[in-house]
Amino acid sequence: MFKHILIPTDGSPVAAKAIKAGVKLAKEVGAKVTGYYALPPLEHLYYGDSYILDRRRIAEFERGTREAGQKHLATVKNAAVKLGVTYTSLMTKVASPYIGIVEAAKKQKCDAIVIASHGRGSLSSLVMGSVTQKVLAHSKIPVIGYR
Amino acid sequence: MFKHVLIPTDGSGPSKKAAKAGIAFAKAIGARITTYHALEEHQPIYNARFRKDLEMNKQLVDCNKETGSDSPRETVLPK
Repeated sequence: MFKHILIPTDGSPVAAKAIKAGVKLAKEVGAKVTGYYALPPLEHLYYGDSYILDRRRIAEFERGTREAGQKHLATVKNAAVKLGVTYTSLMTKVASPYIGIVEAAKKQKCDAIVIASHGRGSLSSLVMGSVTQKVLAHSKIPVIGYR
Repeated sequence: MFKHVLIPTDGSGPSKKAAKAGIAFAKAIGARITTYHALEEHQPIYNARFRKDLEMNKQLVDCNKETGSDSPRETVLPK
């Protein structure tokens, strides 16, 4: 059935559950997985009018987000290693996470996406998260919104 | 992982495609499936075309009888 599953993460606890499920599914159908993390663009704080933006701060921000991404992707890697599933990872800087997820799936030639039904949002345990909704709307391949 | 997959259909082309994929998926992971079709309820509108409406209602009931049943159909696929 599926040969290559993309598992995006934002590092939230619900994403961790989806990672576990995605890797387990990959194991069952004999697919490989790619973990994906979308690097966030500069926070508003960094370009608000009372804040002086310099190269050092940008570099700091980027280093911080990359480190966070590595940490979050390690969760996918650990899950994959534990079950003996072939694993790769990808991190890109995009305007919005959903764009990154859909593009990553295309670039890696994935044939399914397993994503948490919601991420960090607060109201989101009731409804589908906005990123997941957009991925569902824009993806050309099957999406499993894991609850 | 997944043990039971719900496959709703309205009989349209895309829905048939999804059903096919769903069945293949269920087979791959050894899950059983339940197919589902929602019966449409026709709300009669009483106006000048009352007769036509009644006729439409009857057609719809017949159509529902053909396409769906009250109980879901379950199939267990061997892994």
